Amino acid sequence: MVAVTGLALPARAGARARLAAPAAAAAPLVAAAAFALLYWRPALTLVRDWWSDPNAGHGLLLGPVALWLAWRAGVVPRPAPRHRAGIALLTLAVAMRWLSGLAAELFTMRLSLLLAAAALVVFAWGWGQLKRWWLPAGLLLLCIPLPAVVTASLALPLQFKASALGAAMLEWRGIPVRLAGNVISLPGRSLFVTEACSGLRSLAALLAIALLTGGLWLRTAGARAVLLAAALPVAVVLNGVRVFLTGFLVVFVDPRLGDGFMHLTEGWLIYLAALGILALMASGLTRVERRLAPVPA
Amino acid sequence: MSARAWWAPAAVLAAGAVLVAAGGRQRSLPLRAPLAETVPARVGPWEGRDRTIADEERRVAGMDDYLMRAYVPAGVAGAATAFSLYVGYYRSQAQGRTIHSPKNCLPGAGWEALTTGRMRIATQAGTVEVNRALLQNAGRRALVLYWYQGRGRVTADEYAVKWNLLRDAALSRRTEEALVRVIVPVDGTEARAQEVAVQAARAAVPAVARALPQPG
Repeated sequence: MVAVTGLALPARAGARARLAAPAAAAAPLVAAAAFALLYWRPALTLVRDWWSDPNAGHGLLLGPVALWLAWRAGVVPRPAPRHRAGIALLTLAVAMRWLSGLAAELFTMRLSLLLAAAALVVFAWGWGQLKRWWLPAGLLLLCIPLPAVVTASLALPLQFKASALGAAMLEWRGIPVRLAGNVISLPGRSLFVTEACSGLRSLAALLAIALLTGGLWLRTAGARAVLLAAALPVAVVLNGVRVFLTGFLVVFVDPRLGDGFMHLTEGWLIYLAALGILALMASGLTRVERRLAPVPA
Repeated sequence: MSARAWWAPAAVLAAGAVLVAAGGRQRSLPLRAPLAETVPARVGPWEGRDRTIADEERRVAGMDDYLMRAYVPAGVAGAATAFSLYVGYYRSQAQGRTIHSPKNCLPGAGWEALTTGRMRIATQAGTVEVNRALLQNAGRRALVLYWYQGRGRVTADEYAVKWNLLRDAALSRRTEEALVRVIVPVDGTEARAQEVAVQAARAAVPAVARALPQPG
């Protein structure tokens, strides 16, 4: 880059550019080093959680997908750097990093990492670039696991919902059931609907998949919002179905089917079914989109 | 865009790195007195027996001091535990070494919540609000009361705990805190278990306060 500029310039200006170049190039390097110093810890714990937390495993897959999507989308043809806005956002992100470090709070610390990255994007290329990268940015956001305090308080109501739905379906199939909290009493056995069955585990992954599918496949913001909003009811209803299936298998086939390998496989099948339903919905939505706003030939 | 413009974000990020490195050192405050001394060995008709927590569990929980005590009816041989009291004390909290909420730990140990909520308890040290949960594990039920205590406060709300931690860490570099948990096996009615739990909590709040560092 420097060599090319030097060739195009008169000899004296070229010499000055060569002298100034190392000093100027130091700035981005220092920025990168300070960024790494500030964020290596939150980044490392994030990857560790993706690796070991069953509720966050989708990050391992979707994180790299997001980076690839960002690379594919590339840089806007006419960048409009916003230095002041970028620095303001960056200051906010750094303050957030400092405070969350004090409180030892991982979620806001990781959020600050994304905010700082967004700030640098605005600084370097402007808001248009951030808009161009909305899909990878959204995916990365969904790959940050929610704080345990939040998930714990979300899981219980979802668990109750799955229990109630499952019990209602068993009743509808003529199986006598009694529901008390998350305990479903069946003839000769009772089932405990555990936290893992709340659907929360698959919800974040389903939301991310809905975002990815909507972002790549659908064209309008409305259709994308519908697909994203559908992820929650799909997760809840399918967990009800899972509770029902478990109860059904336990009563009619084998009491041992309530736990272990079969139960795990069933969970995977339910997840695949959720993906299938989302794919069907997405294909339906593309048809609606085409009717409302035909693609110009 | 000139590469020179990057000195501005570099400066902000570097200042942040310095701030974080400096803010990371919290004061580490030991207990004023051992918990085993301030918490009464006898509560109502029950007598406490100290238990030890296995090193591995201790390492995972990361507390600096603890009290784990099972209270049984005094003078009754082989009687079942009426309630157990756990106090885990952290001299300072940092990333990766914070109090684990029982909300996250107990489900991992096979306990599932049937109901969760809050309740108020009048103690010598004033009225406090604590978390209340009815748990079940393989047919056994237990009533659990737990709260966070330290820096002059008794708090149930976990969001408030985080907020206070952040504020005190920034203003006074103090992050010491204790988690106090009472577990009562439900053998009879839930109401009876709650009576026992409330009696235990009433004894625990002022006793733990005597062991904690001075507030403020």
